[in-house]
Amino acid sequence: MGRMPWRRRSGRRAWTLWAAAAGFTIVGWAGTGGAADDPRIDAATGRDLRAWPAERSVEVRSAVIELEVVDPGRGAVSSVVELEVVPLGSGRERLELDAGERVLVDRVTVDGASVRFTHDPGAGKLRVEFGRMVGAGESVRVRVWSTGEGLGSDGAGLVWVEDDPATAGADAEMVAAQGTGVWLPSVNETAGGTRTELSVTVPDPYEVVAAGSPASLTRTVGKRTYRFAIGERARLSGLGLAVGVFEAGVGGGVTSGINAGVVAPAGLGAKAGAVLGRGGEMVAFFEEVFGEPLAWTGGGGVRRVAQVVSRSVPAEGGAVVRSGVVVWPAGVLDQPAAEVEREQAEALARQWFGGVVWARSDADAWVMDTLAALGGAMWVERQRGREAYLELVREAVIVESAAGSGRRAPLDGGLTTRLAASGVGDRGARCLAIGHMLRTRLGDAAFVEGVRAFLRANRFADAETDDFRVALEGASGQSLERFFDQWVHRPGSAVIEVEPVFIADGAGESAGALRVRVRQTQVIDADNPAYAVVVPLVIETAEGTANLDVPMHTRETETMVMVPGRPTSVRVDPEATVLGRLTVVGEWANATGVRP
Amino acid sequence: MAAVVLALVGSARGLGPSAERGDFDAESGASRANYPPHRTADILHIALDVTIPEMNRREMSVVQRIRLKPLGGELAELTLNQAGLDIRSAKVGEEEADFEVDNDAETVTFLFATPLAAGRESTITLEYRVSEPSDGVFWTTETGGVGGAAGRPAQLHTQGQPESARCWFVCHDFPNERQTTEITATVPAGFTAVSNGRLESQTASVGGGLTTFRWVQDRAHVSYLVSLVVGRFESVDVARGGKIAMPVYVPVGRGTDVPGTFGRTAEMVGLYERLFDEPYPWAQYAQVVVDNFAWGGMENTGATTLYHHAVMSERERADATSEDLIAHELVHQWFGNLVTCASWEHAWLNEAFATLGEALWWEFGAGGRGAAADGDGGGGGVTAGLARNLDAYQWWLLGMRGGLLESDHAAAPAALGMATKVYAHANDVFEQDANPYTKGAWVLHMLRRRLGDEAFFRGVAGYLDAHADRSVETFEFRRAMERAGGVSLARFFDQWVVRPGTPKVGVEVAWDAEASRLRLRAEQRQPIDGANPAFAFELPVKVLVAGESTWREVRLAMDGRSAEAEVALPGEPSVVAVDPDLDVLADVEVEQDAGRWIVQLREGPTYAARVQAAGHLAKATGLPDGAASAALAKVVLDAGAHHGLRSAAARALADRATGQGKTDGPRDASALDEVMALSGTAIEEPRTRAAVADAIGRAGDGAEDAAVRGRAVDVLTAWATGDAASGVRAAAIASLGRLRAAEKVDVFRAALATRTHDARVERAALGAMADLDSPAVVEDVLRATGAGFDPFARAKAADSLARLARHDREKVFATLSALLDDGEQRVALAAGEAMSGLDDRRVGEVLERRSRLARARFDRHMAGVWLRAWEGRGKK
Repeated sequence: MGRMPWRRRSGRRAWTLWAAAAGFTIVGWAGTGGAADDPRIDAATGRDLRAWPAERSVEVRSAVIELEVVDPGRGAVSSVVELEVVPLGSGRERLELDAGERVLVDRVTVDGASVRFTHDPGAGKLRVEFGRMVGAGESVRVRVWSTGEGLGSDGAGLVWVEDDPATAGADAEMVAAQGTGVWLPSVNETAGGTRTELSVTVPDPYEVVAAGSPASLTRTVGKRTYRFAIGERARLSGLGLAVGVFEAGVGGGVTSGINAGVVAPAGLGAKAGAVLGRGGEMVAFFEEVFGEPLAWTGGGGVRRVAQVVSRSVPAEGGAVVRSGVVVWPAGVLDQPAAEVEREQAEALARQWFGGVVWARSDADAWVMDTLAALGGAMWVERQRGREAYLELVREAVIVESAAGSGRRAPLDGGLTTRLAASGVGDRGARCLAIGHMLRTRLGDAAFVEGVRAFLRANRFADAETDDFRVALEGASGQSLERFFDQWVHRPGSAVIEVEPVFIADGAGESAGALRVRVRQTQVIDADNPAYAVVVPLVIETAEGTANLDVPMHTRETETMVMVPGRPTSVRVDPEATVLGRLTVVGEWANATGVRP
Repeated sequence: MAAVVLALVGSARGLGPSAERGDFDAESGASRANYPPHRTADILHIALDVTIPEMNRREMSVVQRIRLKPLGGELAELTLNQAGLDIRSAKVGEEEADFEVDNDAETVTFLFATPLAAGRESTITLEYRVSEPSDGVFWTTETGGVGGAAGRPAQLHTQGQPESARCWFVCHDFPNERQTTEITATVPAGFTAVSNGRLESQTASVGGGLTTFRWVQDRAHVSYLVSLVVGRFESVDVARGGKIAMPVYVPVGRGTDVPGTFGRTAEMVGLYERLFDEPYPWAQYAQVVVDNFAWGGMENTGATTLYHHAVMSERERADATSEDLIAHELVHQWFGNLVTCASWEHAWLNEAFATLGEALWWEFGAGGRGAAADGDGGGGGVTAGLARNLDAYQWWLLGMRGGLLESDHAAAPAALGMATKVYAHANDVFEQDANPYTKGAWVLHMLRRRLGDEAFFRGVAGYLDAHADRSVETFEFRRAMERAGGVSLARFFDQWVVRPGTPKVGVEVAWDAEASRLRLRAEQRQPIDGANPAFAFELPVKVLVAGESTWREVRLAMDGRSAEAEVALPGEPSVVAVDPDLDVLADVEVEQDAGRWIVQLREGPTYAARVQAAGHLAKATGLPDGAASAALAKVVLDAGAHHGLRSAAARALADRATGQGKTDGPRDASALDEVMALSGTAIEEPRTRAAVADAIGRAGDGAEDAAVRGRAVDVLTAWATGDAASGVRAAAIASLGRLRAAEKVDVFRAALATRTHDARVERAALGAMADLDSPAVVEDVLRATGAGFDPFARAKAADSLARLARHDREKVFATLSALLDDGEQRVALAAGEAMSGLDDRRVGEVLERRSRLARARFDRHMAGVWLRAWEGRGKK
């Protein structure tokens, strides 16, 4: 799972910051050429610079995590982690776990016996020697004792705020952000889910929020121990955790059988409830659309996702989305609820796309981003109508068409690039535009069925771009390889000019033909061939309105249509079904919704 | 489709780095990639009622029912494929339906007055005729006997792959759609109709003039696998009491040859069921030997079609076999049929397994020398305990590698990878440089080496389990193997499957006696750029220290241009064998002390290592006089060695004798002596003997001493006329041709009159005649293009004729032009290929016209291929 797109600033969505939040560095190299500048290769060694998916050498069937938060204000914890590990493929004599540089490993046992281990803090790896060959499919229990302080940086691992000595009471907070391995010995890259039991001990008066409801709460002198049984096979690296002294948000979050309640630092509960209080409705909406219940349950079978407002999350950041937990920066409470609504819906959609199914590699993360973004927009559509939804999509198309202008294969990559930098202009905008285009193309019934099939087929497992495509193809019968090639794998967008000319039929203009020339004017070459698109036109005449779809897969095409009279207007692609700048030129240039 | 017996046509591409990109139409700006067609309906079942009243009139009437269910939404119209069908009527249910035929697009579109409701089943019924089919149905009428030989009865067989099923029935002619089928064929009495599935009934008509066969295929398959064969056959079942019937249909009179040729089919089924952990999937396994089949075989579901030489007499089986072909088509019943490539981009998934299946048969099934219970290779799981012959397995792999390394260049994006959407005709995919057969099999082999037998075969079984009865893409196979292996294979698949090319690796081996260290340096020497980065692989090196018996292994990890390793050893190594188990599909050149090659030839850890040593000894210098030649000759004469190694040694001797091998070098007189000495030595094994015959021809050709040539001619003449093995006779005749032994033209003429497996002797004679480059043989070759000769010989005659064109331009042009329309597809294709090399401007006119006007899309396509080859002939 990842972080949310950063929120609206200065009236325009800052889509691009998502990429930075996801660990990408945005550097453009469009227009560069020649081997020395080729970002795909190290010129000196000839090495391929693409990042390939990490090995999935083991399955982690279950994890029992006993955590003691020594000081939430210093990101200090001690832990005992027991992983039930099964080698995949072939037998193995050792295991490589993720363990960040500040994790101090005290001891490791395998099936109860102490074993040798090596911790490489720089690489963030803990190598555990089994002491024997463990066969493929054979299960062993690896137990790791560790401690650490300051277990995170740059938004990864743990994030925290110290207790303010100037105020009364304990107001330190601590949140688990991306990269469980940064602060807890574990496995970041897993193909399947892990049945997880989590026990967290905190000093009084601190509380713990994690996936689901606490199965038990035990109090000892000066401490409290919360136990969570995360029964589903969740993604281990998506482990959610927030520690602080919270008060419940007032109002909202809870609907029948669903608890998406909000907690916030003392004094902020009412505000949090007002701003984020519709989580329960949103979850219910997504359960219906995705055909899959929320994965995390609390007491009494209630499905639960906790929403936490925490000062430990950077104020300028978006939500930290973890399995069963969404943590919002306190700054969100200063935004009007309506403004936050789409982002909240998107964050909650990630409980499915990131929580139930997750990306095999960075190259596949766009699938989750797209479905979450579309989920957010569909919530807006449900609440505020089709035009509000389309307005979001149109804005995304405009943003990406401008930001991605000039991006071209092969030196720029598309959403699925394995190069360190994304070649698209604005990742978040592109994802929403693509999600919308797919939805429009397949129709709601087939699209929703495809999304549900994708979830069913990859439930609690990682998935790739092609898994998503195949699921949509199976539901719709449509062949989507060309669509994915041109919009997902390639960068850039279309620039299309539509030139309609009315040819009167004899005297007067009571009837005639409309000749429509459509030209793609973006750079077209072997790596960036003309887009195969259908350009929708809406032609208005005194007699009424007609729709004309112009399919094209070359630079230019021309079509002729009979019209009952000289058109009063010709508009192009009012529903934003083509990612690009589409413009009507000539007589009706000013009569259309021309995009910048 | 099967491995071809002869190369049919030149590659449709062959693009170099500077060539125009085949994937892009610069004029229109359009991509030339081929994307799968949409499936607007799920075709559930196709029933064909075929009536053929007269086998000598190439016409059939068909009533077809298509049961389907709309996908995605209601359906107002449905477009399916057809080519050249004379459609008379169409109904939906009981109502007439409008339809529009587009012969350019090869489609028919049904227009429904009432849209078909989403998710509800409907049935379309069609009536049409298939007349004078030009593709998809190969229908030869009865021929009279020539020169005392018996004529052929009329016969037809269909060939659906890649996109020719549309030539005889209406279908979604792409492998992303599956349906059950049933075929009811009414044919003249005395003829047998064979199709997919099980034979439900066979009934004679009133009066007995016709017989109706009803075949039912109740497990879904794709259109290109639907088959119908009608002919006069006798059938022999080779199931040996197994669970399913395994009839083999052969021409009347050849039944006695079936047990010897096909007798191990049931054993193969057992082997593959074990290796793939999946029962044979279909109701029966029929093999049908047909005439006029341009490929080796076609794996139609449960009813493989095989070319006419597949059934072999006992004499032919002395030095040839059909077992590799039988194995190939059989493996397709799982890979290709049970699990089918979803588009031609992924055809390699079909062919790779079928081709590897051949190698697995040699390894596990064919037995023989070197067999040992669970020897090397990380055997575990399903292969544990199986007797194996790794020599035979590696021999097969090396046999597939040679041409591949020469043709498959790391020149993306101009060159295409194995899995590509870019092709002018779907058939091109099967012929491309990054070849789905050979490279595909190698990719699977490399995966097997990387994962080990246990995980590899577990992954294969998991792949079948997950995708049975489905059409699949490459990524789905990768995922299955990743799950089984616990590894990430994205990079592996990217560099070996998606990208074109193979690495060329130079390895320098140096021994530092002072430091007692072995230094290895490897370098990738193929062009490297952004589209073709360095390959990433581990190159294993096995080292044997002199006086020791245990091999040590070093693995050079490469992901850039070069890599180095240094190993401390207790003493100087006697053998340093690079990649002895063929872990990497690479052209490996090793530079090391030449003395080690002699030891490696003798004691190398594997067959491949010994062959590698033979190859390097072909040009090694710095050895004592005669040492290399003696070592090579000893291997040739080693009756215990695999014939592939012995043949490699014979080739290396010829290279040394002539100084002309892979790279030119000095002539080695001792090698010439050894080659000529071999000519007087009895060598029992026929394939080794054939290799020696070839070596004698090469050595004699290069010899400065006329007496040596004379002796070579004498020996070769004796072998050409008297050897029991047709392969040896063919090799000897080819060598006589190389020696331009015009005085032996009567030997060639006599050979042309024989009838051998694959016409190998006749073809050698025709090649030799062309080598003579004499007007005296033109009439002989012209005659061989005609009736009475085997299609293989006729095809070769077309090729030889082109080489002799300067002696009679008019006759050659006229003959080849006429052969373009020959009823034997193999001959017609050979004629086109031959014409593309003629220096005659009329060729361009003929081919250009044909590329526009030929009736069949495949014929138009091939004419275009030949035309481009003809236009570029001067640049070759």
